[in-house]
Amino acid sequence: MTLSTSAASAGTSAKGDSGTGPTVGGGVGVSFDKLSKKYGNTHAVDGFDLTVAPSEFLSILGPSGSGKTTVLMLIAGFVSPTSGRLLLGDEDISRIPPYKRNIGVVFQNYALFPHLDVRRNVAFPLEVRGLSQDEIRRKVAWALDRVHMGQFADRRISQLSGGQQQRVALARAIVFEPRALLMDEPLAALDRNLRVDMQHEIRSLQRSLGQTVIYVTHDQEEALNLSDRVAVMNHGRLQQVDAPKNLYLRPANPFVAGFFGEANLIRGSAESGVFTTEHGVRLPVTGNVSGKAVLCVRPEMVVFGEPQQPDFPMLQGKVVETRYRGSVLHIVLDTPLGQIRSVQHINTTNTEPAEGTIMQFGWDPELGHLMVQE
Amino acid sequence: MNEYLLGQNGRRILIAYGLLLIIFIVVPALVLVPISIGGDDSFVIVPDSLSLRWYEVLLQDARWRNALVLSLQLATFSSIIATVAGVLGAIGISRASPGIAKALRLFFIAPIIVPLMVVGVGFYVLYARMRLVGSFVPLGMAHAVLILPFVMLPVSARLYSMDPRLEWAAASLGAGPYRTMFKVTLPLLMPAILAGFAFAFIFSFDEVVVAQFLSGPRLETLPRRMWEGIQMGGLEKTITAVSTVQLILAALAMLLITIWQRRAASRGAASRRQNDS
Repeated sequence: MTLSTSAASAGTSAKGDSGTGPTVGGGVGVSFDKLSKKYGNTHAVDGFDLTVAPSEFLSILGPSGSGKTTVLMLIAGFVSPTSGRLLLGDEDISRIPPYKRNIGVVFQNYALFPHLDVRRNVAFPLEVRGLSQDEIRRKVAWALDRVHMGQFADRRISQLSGGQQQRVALARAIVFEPRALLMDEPLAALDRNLRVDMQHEIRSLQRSLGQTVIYVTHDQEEALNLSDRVAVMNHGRLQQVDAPKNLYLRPANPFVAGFFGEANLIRGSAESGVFTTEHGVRLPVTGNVSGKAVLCVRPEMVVFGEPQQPDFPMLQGKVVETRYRGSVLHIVLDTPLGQIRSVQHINTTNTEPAEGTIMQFGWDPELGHLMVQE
Repeated sequence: MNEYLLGQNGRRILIAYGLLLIIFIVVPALVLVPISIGGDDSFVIVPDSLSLRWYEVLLQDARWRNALVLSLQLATFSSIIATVAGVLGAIGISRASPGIAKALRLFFIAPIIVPLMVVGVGFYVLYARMRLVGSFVPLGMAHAVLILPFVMLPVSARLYSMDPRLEWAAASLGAGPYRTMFKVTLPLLMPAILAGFAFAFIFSFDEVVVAQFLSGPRLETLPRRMWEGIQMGGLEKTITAVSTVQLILAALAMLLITIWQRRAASRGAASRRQNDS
């Protein structure tokens, strides 16, 4: 726990007395055991199985309606599960009311109390817990300092900008040393530059506090940027939980592949290192998937010219569309595999091929990723 | 903005119409003010001499004074009951399922839809059987029923526009249901509650139909006393003084509500901005 004590002392103001900051013991793990929530006949969350490690930063990512917000509401206790269990540390909290859970929540719209000033907002959870005035003053100062809002303590909420409100909401959620911190699209209402700044701050705050964070978002970039692991959801089900790199290179299924960036998805079947497309083209692949499968090739892995691999077939495609998008050139080809998208980095040597040009292309079989078709 | 939508003539007609409407609404209310400060018995709008003698009568005449005190007591009693019941009712309805909430809302608004005469007769028949006619508390309860919608309507509207996440936030911060109610929900509802209370108070203070049925011979409320003053022996000029006092009270109440809502507006700006996102 050396990390947490140093974090606490770093957080206190210039007075520097390390005893004044709350002792930050780091977060507690959160485990989902086949957690489900049904509304009528539809599963908002279906058999959620996941373990979040103490002090882990986990994002729950999914399109709107995927059930990610319901998961957050289940953890916070604003809705109760239809079945399954939810553990905070070793304690089953599935049926415990939200005000006894000790979990901090940062809402998308901040949900600051408009009738209280900044100080009273942050003091709220401490007053509820019956702390002494002295302790409350100290902890509020500590939390506001952590989010650089110390000089705004006497402001009204309506006098703050969106970014400042976000910081106050963050301070209010950490001031009572919650066992875990939930965030529901906390940056969605901010403009882009501010969002990137806040991402850094949230991440460094989480690191220094050793806080367990579960962060709900629909923004892939944000999730990849912030998280130790990302849990991808769709239609109430968990699709994949993995580190950001693996989600891109080793997606579990076509949904995940399509959710993170562009992907060429080629359907067919695989057997002992050979993938046969629906149109009968045979391609070398790695991995031991057999049966119906989908081959995922990222656009930037498509290379033009002679194939480097000796056993890679000669593939030809006709250029149907080219587009410059910032620093990259998009080329769409009509090929025997269907439409193939490629992305080339612009440099002085490459020129935009004319539409209708026949081009040879291929990719490193190591970089193609084979997924079982569901 | 309207410059291009309306011709010159159209604008003139609209302005004239607006002025006419204002005059028509305001004059009957204000006409009694100059009459009430006239020195003599006659009802002239521009009095020859100025005097406050009709206000003195109001204070010195025991019957008038008792009526005024009774009406103030009655309005206070009934609007406190209506405010407590109405706020609780509105909060309850806001948590009911949409279908039930709709039915309940209609039910509680009924007192201002059903004709007063019908309600009055209904209460009279019930109270007569139970021997409750002519007592203060039953009359106050009847008034509370009548003025319940004045509390429920603004409070419901405010609840409807209130972000439910504020209550969730309170819960996540460790506040149980009661603390959330007293520290978050009620403070945020306060402007609507005060407005509702003021409307309810004014209506009860002014109410004559149901009071006529239920007050019996003993309880003479101010509106009843005024009614009497008009019926018996022509017009009693004290009525103009009473009306003026009522007018001033109502204006004061409106002023207070406005000030309160102004104060709340700066706070509300924050919650509204939060709602928009």
